[in-house]
Amino acid sequence: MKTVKTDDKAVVVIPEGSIDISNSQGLKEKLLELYDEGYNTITIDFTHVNAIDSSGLGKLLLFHKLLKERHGELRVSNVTNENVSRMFRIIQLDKVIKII
Amino acid sequence: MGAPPKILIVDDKQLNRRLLQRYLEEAGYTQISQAASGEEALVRVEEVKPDLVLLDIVMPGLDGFEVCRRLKSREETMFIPVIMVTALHDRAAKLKCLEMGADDFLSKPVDPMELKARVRSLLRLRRYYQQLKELNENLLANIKTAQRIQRALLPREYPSPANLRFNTFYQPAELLGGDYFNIFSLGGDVVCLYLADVSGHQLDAAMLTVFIRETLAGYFRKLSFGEGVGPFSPRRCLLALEEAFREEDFPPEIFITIFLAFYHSKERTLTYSAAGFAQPVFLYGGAGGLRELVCYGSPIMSLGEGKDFREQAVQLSAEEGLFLYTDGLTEQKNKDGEQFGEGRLRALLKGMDRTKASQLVPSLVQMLRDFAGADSFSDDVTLINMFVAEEGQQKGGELNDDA
Repeated sequence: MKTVKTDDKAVVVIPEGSIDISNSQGLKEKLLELYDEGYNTITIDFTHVNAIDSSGLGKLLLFHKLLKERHGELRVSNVTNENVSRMFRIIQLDKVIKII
Repeated sequence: MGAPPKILIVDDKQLNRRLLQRYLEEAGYTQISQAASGEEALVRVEEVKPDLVLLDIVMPGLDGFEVCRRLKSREETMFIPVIMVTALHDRAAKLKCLEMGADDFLSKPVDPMELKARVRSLLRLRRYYQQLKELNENLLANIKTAQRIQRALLPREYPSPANLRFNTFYQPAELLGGDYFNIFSLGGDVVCLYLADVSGHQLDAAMLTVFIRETLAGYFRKLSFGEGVGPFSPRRCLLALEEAFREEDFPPEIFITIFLAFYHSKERTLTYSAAGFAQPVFLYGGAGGLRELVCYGSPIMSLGEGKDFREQAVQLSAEEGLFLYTDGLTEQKNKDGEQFGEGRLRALLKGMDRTKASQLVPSLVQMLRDFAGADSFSDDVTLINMFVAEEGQQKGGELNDDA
């Protein structure tokens, strides 16, 4: 999973493939590490993500909450996959997490 | 674990056995037995069930290597610590001991202090292992009880106004599931059905499914006593569930996805509302072909502002059946990593009509098993099929699960 640090407070995480029960723990650990390093704007770039399940979604929600508590933000960007995009639309994720 | 530890001494020479026994007795051990050959050792292990074996290597018949190998290859005896007692000082013999699974060595002539120290440390390990094993067994027993409770909370029979029939399938990926459904009468010809899938599928998820059931059951009880909870609607049920969820201060990463509907079986109208239910709900068998209901709505969770839910209604034709499922179905992978997907499901539903409706769930389960190459699946799978039986068709609402 690549990460790109855009400035001292912002970072972009670029996961690949499917974010599901088999690997969502890895994403959680990565996000926790960035959170502990003090990044306050974490963007998950979905360019290379083709599926996400409920455990993956749970991790996004967790960090959305953690970051918000210290006035930061979790964002989701570049949702290109049609299935992922449809799922986000149906569950109205944009009402909770900023999707750019 | 208060029982004194049992030690078995295996040596073909009586003098050696006596010496070891005396050392052990001096160290305070009282439950000591002896075997004079490899063959006898195996019999003694069965009888005595020792907590530790002191094993001589060079013996006529079965030697110590072979006895050790046999003990370590059987599930009932593999965790009994074995100390090999050897006059062989060469590296190859010690490596062979390790290869056979021995836990430690002692060189002859045996030094009593060393013997005492090694025996004590291995018995301590043995005790920890047994405590862990007991804890594990207790935990498993508790989870199995929880599983029985979860099963008992599923509906056992379904309401059947106006020839309405339900076929269901419910199979958690592990002992406990994060899926839950319920189907019950709201009086007259109205039936309520809901299907929920919560994040995770272990104890936390199972507890959350009980929360859903109890919250909704409580809501319906209040309604039936006329306790002013407003008009009766799927949307209001979800609002009540969300309100209760927010009051509970659940952790932020857990959430509920749910589809909830009221079905008026005489008028054949379905009123429904959904939260985070990303997969479509299908209406099959109608003259106009397969229809799908897209169910907009955020999952129920502690995040975000108070949300509202959409409520929609649809009229079913006399031929149409309703099919809903949790995504464990479509996300099941085969051995090549390919997903079952919606395509296969659609194809099956397109070929469905009222005369075959009672076969839909069993056929689909068979297809999924064939696809997965197994009888168990990687996520919880729940399938619900609602259809109107033809005149004269037997009522068959059994819970069609793996139990």
